[in-house]
Amino acid sequence: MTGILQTQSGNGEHPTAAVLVIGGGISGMQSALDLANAGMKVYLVESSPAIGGKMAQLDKTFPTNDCSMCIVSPKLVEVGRHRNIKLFTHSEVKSLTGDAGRFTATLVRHARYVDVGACTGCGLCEIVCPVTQISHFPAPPAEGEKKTRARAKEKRIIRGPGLPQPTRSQKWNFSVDNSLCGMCGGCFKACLHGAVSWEKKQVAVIDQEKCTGCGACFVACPEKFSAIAIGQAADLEKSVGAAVHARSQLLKKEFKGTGQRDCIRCGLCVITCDKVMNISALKMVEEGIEAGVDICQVCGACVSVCPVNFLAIDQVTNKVPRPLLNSFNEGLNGRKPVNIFYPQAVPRVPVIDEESCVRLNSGACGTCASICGVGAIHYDHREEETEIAIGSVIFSPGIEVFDARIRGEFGYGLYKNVVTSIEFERLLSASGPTSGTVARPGDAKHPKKIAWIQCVGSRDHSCDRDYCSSVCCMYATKEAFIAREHDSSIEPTIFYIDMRSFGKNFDDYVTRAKDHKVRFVRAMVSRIFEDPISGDLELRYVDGSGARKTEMFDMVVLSVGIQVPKASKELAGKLDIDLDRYGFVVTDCYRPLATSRPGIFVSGAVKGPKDIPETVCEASAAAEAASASLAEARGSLITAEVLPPERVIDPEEGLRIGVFICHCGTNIASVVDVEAVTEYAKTLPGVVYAEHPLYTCSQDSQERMREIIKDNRLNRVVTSACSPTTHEPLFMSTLQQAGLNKYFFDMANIRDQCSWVHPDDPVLATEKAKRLTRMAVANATAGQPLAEQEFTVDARLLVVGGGVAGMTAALEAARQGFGVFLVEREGQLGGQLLQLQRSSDGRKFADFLGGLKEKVLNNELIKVFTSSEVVEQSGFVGSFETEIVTPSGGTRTLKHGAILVATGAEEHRPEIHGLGTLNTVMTQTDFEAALENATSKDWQHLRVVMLQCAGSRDVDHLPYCSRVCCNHAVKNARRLKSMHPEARIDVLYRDMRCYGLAELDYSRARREGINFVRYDPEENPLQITAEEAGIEITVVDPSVRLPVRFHPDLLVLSTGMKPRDAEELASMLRVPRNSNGFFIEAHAKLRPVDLPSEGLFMAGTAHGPKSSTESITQAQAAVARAATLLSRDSMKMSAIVSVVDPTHCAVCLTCVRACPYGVPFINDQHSAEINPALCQGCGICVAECPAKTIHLGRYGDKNIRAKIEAYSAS
Amino acid sequence: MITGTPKPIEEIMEMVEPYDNIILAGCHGCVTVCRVGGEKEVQVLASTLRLAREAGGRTIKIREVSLERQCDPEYVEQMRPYVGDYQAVLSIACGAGIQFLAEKFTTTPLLPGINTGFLGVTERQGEWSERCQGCGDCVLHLTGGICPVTRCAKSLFHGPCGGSVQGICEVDKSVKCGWQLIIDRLKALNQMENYTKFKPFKGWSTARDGGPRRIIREDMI
Repeated sequence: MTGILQTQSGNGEHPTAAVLVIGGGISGMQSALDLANAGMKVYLVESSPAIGGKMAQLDKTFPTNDCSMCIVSPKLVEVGRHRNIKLFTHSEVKSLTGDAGRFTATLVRHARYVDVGACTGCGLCEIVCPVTQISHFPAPPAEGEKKTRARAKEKRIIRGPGLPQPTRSQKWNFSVDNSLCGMCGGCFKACLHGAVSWEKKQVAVIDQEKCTGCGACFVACPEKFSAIAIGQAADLEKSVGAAVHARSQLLKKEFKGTGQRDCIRCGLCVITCDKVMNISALKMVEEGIEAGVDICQVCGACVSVCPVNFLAIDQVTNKVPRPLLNSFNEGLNGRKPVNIFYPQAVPRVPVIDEESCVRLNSGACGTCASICGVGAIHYDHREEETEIAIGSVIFSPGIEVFDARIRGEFGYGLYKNVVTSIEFERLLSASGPTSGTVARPGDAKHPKKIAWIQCVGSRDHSCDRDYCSSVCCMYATKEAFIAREHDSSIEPTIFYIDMRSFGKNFDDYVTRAKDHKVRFVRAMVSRIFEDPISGDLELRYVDGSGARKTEMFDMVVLSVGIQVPKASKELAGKLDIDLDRYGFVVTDCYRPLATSRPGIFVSGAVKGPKDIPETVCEASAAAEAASASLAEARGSLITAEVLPPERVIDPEEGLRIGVFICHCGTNIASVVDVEAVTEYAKTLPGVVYAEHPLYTCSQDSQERMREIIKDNRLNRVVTSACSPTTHEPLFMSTLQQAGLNKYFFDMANIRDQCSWVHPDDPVLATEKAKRLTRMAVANATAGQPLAEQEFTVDARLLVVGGGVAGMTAALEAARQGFGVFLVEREGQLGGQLLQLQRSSDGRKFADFLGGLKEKVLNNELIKVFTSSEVVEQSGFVGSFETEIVTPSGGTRTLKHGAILVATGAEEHRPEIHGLGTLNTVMTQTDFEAALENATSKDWQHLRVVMLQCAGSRDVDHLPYCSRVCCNHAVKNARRLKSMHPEARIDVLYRDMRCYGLAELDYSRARREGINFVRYDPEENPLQITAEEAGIEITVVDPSVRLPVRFHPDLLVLSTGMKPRDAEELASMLRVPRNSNGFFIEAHAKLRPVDLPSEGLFMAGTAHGPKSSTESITQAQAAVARAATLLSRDSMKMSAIVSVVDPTHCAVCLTCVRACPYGVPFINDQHSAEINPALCQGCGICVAECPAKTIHLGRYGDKNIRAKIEAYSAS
Repeated sequence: MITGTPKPIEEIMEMVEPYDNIILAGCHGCVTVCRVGGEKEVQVLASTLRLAREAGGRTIKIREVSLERQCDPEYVEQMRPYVGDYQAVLSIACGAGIQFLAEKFTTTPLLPGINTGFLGVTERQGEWSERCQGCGDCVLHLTGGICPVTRCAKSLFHGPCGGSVQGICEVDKSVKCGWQLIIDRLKALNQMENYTKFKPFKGWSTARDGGPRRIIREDMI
């Protein structure tokens, strides 16, 4: 066998090593990253303006309560920066031709009107854009006709409580240009202050003493003369719109909090309407503002420039205003036509909305282009088509939520305080419309009692949503939980049918929610009535005792289900892939990622409802499936970065620090005096160069920075700009390109920490910016060059466990071209699946396993070791050594680059209800096997009781939910019923957790006459006597509220799944397992198949209970993750690793105990030692070491002290 | 290992109140391992004292030192060149170390920064418990490796007293009865005959009862 990647053979008939990923949600992003990191070129197409998908809209995530945006934004940045991922946002797939391995796709990039390459994402265009509504644009002139302005026929005077109080603040100077004056007297008539003197055939003169600067004269002067000149108006050189915005902002600041309600006759509304929007519907009159309500185009500009909120949109027009709503915030607040999708969007580049932008519709305005400092706005953009060559396609367009209006009884759309769950996510989100305050949309009051109604658009045949949406039980619990975290006076109630908390640690989460006073009521709400005065909502339902109840709530959240959007169904049609009746992509349970068309793979909720970790797992798996057949061409279409040699800095060489203070357009410069900060920076010790670029991060500034570093022989660089999280890697790479060690860099965030938080205090904000810059300079001064060691990667994978997950992983890794060692403890391959009979669609597992085994055993890249066990393990990612004991008793050392743990699980067999002693009591697995041989006529009238959660969700046995048992019971019950329709089956359950599309089988089972009776171990316990003489079970059937008694012939127990013993392996690999013995993933949401240590992955039931299809998916996902390492020739270790100075090591073991990754150990030199290849650079040991003898790269005491001292120095 | 706990900062503040110029001395031995007197604690305590004093309007100069061990004269002597320049030495080593400094630097007041605990073991990070009282006459071979002197609240030698209830000592619910532990262990080791073996009364002269102790190893001198 060979561990080396197969290189391309020379016949030229290679598939295209590129993949088209459709959809930029978490699924598409994960696929793209896994592919691009494994040597595949990726084209990522997203229809919305930015990637991120639904996950970016969520506030927190269950079951860890991690902030969704915080965990997803590093992924956004990584995708955005990846050199081998080409992003097509605001784009769509038009067509796909060709076959697997050699497709051609045509992509349509919709006109964005903003140049993605030039835009720096400063957001200024959005700030200055005055438009807030979808306008009723005047009809364009007929061909050949001259465009004329309409004249108002219907006029309305808008008055305040008192007369206008003209202000001279921030006034513009108006004067008459004698050479242009047409002597018409228009200005004279317009002036309300008697400031214009004019006589017939005379040039008008403006008396500056009397003029208040309202601009009435400017508006009145006919366009053919344009004789009124404006002086002292900031930004007028850009455009009138920009100047209006500038004055408006200053006046807003001035009048803030003054309670001014009268018109201040600043004239900005009139100037905007006339000069910017080219409408002229407004006029200043003695009593206020006169509006030509019939010609108003309802763009909202006058209202948004008004500094004192004197105008309201419905006053200035006779049409119905159509507010432009923010779709990212689910329409809960407004937006501008030019809009950055959300604050952390990637690309952080706005799109101009064709429907509402005034410029694109009437040709007026154009303010945003005039203000853009980098000239990124182009109104002449047109749709573009691009053809790309790809080998595979991943279809992951995601889902949308159910339209709750269809369930009219809940009043969504009519009652303002009834919201959907996704709207509630935005209300909880700190970046949402209420900045994270839980407020009712109706009146912005803080609600106290909030109800969640489950299964709105899920498990509902009446609206053709028969399936379960899988995520709603958990997200509702999370929302209730988090709502109480925001405001502990909130009393949440969740109305539900079954609590489907079937995932890993989900039941614990629900228990925690209950402890946090979240009330759960098992009832379906039948109707909601709104109190029209208070806006409160009356809910009606029938409780468990059958009593009809009414209860008042302040707010109701509908837990809307998820569905496939129409556009995705249409796209699936174009791609020619099969969908089921609900629009979910059809796949085979043994090939869960492949669609009906070869070469097209699917991932995410478009294949059936699922949560984030399952989606991430599928995304990795789809990446693996999509790239396996392209593996031979791996690396042929990607580009690698070439860096110049690094300049060695002589320790004798003096400090030569360069400082760059960023304007960030006006983002920083409008508050912070960047020139003053730059001058200050020049005075700091060691600084030899300082400048203040408009946008430090723009392409040209970066090139310039590179030149400056070289020309000035800089040996330290500091930028004072925005967030290091997003921009530090960019600046560091510029240092590298200039031949400087990247750790000779530091960054101060004077945007978030100065201009953004102190906009009202420019002087102190500037002082703070100076101080932060001083700290960064001090830190850069203390900087040391750090080296990143490089080592070669062994391209072989060790798979521990030869069940379905392990075998699938081995086979897929071999398809990817990697050598595989497959180690199985038992004498034969197959694992737990050997005990099971049939898949969910009725095919025999034995056939599938047989085929799989044969392929594994015959693959020359796979070396199988059965009856063998891992006994010792050492090394680190890319270069592991593992010792195994083979059946002969001898040991063998395997060298490999990554490890995949697939040790699996087995059926739990508790000694309860006579299991193991009575032959009338068996487990679901036993029963399934018996069914295979059940031709006996005795079974024709068999009475079976299936007992769910027998030894599961039970602290005395398995405390967790085993996820598969409900589906297993439904499968077996239906099979018995199909064989013997006369048989009687009663399933005793706590919650039927038939999540996703499995709900369909559950409802079929009910229709086929299988009885389901709910019990509750506390409130409605079972009485079971199981003896030789017979079995008797008594329970109250909640549907009839009467006790019922069963005398079954067979009692079938759904006992759940427990992990196989892997304690020794876990301690050898130094990876953690949870209290139930399942391995703990590196991150519950975003790294579901990674183990916490680098280079270690897991798949299958070793991670937690799951079905065979889910295990196959995980196996492929784990291979994709491993491929990101194994496909590299070499790897670089991070330079930020902990180093122990043995001189002072007290061997106290503190670091050994404190390290979450189990890296430090005590070596034979009696000192702690940290392997740099294993160290994650978190710094915990550094902080804990009592001898202060552990050091971490650029985070030493020296650095911190330098910063603190620079901070406190004056 | 000798264990200890930091003294409350108020108490230390009161001790250093008369001084403006002191040495704060840590030790790289046991107190580093049990996290009360190492390099890190020296830095943290010094910063705390400076801040607290500054908050009160007075400054204090502190020289931060960490000796390899404060219980060996060679290391202690390293402080001699400068100790006279300071008004006092605040030591966060164990009681032995602090006394040794006091003995060596007779003209400088010595202040204890920690309360010395016991000879014990680390149960887990942040939890220590006592194992040995240094009685000078070890019987662990007879008691299943569990010390009756330390683990029995009364240091009994012939089995549990009447205060042992279900394996718990009457002194405190969190204390296991030492003799219950011994008997359980002896049973598990099949050494119950050790329990019934006649033991003469223990001579306590080798323990503290004999007054301050000394060890002289002729072979090493």
